[in-house]
Amino acid sequence: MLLKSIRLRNFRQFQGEQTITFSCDPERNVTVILGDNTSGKTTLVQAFIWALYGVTNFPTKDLLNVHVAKQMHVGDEETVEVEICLNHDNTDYVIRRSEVYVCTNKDVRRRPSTLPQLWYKGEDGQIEPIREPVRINSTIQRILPKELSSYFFFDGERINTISSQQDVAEAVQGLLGLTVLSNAMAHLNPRSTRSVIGKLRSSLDVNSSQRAEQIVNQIDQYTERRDNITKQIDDLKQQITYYQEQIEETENFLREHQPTAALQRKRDELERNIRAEERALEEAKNRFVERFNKNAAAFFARPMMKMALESLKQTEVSDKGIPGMNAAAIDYIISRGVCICGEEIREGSSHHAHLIRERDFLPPQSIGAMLRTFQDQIKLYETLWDYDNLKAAHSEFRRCKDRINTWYEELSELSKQIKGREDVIKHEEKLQDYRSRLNRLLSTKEKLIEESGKLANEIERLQHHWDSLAVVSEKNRKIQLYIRYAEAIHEWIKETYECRQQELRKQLEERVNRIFAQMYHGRRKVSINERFRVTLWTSVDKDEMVTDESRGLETVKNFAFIAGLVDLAREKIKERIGGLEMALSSEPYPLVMDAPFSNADEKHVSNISRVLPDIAEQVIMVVMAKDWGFAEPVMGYRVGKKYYLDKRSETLTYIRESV
Amino acid sequence: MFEKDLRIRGKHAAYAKQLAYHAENTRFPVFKRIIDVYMIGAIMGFLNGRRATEDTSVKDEVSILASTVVAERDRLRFIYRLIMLLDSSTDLKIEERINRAFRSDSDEQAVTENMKLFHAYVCGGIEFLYEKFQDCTTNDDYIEKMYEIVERFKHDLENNTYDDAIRQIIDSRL
Repeated sequence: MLLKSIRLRNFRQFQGEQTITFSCDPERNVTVILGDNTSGKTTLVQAFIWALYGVTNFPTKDLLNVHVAKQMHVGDEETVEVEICLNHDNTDYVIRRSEVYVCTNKDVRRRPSTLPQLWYKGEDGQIEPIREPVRINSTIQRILPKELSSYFFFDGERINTISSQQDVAEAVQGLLGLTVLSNAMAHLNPRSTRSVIGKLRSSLDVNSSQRAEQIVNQIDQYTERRDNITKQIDDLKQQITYYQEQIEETENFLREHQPTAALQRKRDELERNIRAEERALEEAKNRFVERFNKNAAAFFARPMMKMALESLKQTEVSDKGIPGMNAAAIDYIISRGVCICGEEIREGSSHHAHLIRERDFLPPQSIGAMLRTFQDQIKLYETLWDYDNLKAAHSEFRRCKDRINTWYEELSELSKQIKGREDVIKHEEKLQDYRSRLNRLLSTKEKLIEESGKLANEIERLQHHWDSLAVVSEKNRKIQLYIRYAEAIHEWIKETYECRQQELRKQLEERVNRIFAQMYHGRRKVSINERFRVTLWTSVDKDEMVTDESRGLETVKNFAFIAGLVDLAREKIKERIGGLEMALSSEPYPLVMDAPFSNADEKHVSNISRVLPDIAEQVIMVVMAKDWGFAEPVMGYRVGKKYYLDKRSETLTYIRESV
Repeated sequence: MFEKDLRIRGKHAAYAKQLAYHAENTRFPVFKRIIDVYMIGAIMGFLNGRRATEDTSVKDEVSILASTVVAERDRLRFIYRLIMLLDSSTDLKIEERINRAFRSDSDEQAVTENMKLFHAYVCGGIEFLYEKFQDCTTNDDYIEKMYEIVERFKHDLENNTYDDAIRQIIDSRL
């Protein structure tokens, strides 16, 4: 950063608009502003700080020039404004901060403060404003970190304001160009979920890999089954071809042997008929035998019955029985043992035999009755024979017999005709068999083709699914690779950063000590720790120890530190990192000093003055004329611009350029 | 009478088995049962004047169980009485034959004598029947022979011999 100019408007005692243009000449890089006590030296330096950061260390917050305020009428508005033109990183910036004061009937009031305005000159020379508040602050912070502002805007009279407790490490690192590395580290940070690595990790899809494996297995299974089916289908195709050929062959054969087929069919029909008729014949035979046997005796006995009737007709049968007597009476007589004549009846006696004989002629055993019964029996038996039925059964038997004979003749005739010819019927049966086999094969083939189709669809579906998962898993692989890259890069940057930080600290320590040695004429040394805090060591009998610092010593120490810092920052820092040439930022910085020599003795002033213009790109000193007297012999030839503060009253100072 | 098993022995038993359906019979069953052979045999024996004594030169025997005999007792008695009434092989007058047929049932001695006569006719009849079918070999032969017997018998019965009937048919054609 190089300061080009500052323009003040009604800023405290600097009434109206007053401008200082700073020397940017590399050789005559010193701008001196001389002023007596209370002429506004500190105010001038504070104007820079206010413009940049909106703060001052004045006890009162009102910045409006008292005369201006007094002249305001009710309703009037006046503006306090500081505008700095500077160049940073080869870009021109204009930073302007304003405060508006309004006069009311009671007093003059400050309106709530607003952000500074910021412009920059683009590469095309156009002036462009930066409007976003965040960018305005960050740009200013980048140009000059606020933490270091008290070093660069050096207030010699208020040396205590440079707090040794303030953490300047980050600011120093930023100034020394390490920010890019620390930003890169934060950007990659493996421990943060919001970093590149964190985001990469959260974008990994861990479930899909498992699912993809399952799908691959399933696809393998389906493919195997489908291959199997394809083999089966091939087999079937061969079989189908075989049967189709067989069918064609058989059909051709049958066409040629059509007449034989008809004969064979006729023969088969006859055979069937004969078999049926033979069954009928058997039945007729059985029926005939049945009817022959039924009441055969009654039939064949007819002549005898006829003869018997005739014999009986011609015979006069005399019933020799005792009239009125019956067999029961005889039985009674025999049983009582005494005849009606009084004779005793004994079994075996002639009387007994006589009585028994007599009884045979008595009712109910009378011969007449018996013959009548017998004759009735004859008549009954005569009716039992059914000749017509027997005859019908015989006729049926004959017919069956005749038919069978006729058919056998036909059969014999047919057999003669067929003899020697191929058995066509067998071929027809074969044809039927082939056809049904072919149909079964065709339907099996259909089913298999259908199943194969389904499997193909399923495989395709799974393949698509797998593809989508594969994309994910491919993505996962890539992400894991990116994470490893990012981690490696982080590690690499971290190493570089730590190494570089250490190196810079060492370099800074060296510089500061070198500069300190040029400024200080005693046996003291400076050390800088990891937090970039500066400690003075005093050599006492070959030992080094920390001692209390006087204001003068503190001034020199701070000068040395800031000078070392500026010196280091200004250098073009090039570092080889991982084989790449990486340029860290290098920037010149001005030193703006307010009464730098207040606490320094003559010797120190001379020393400091000699060193500063060499180290800093630009030196702006607001200094008392008496102190300038010690400095001028040493650095007078480096002065490019010179001003003095023309104090007219306690509340009014004009800035005049000395020629 | 006709209340116990009936037995046919010897040659006639062998013939009976051939004429009726029988487990041992290998020929055509003209009659369904042995008892039918027995009954028709008695009739045929009488009508053809054939009596025969038992011939045991052939060792055979067939029994008709009492249960079958009792079931056919009426028929058997009827045929028995006819024969007893009509048999004129002895010099018995008609009155005596009537008595033999109808009044000797309780006379054991007479019955035994009568059954001997009856059985002789049975055996003669079986012989007659056997002879009738002797030449038959096929079912046809048997059926036709049976039918012929019936036809011939029928014509004879109608006072018109079978041979007369054939002659008449031949004459009418001339």
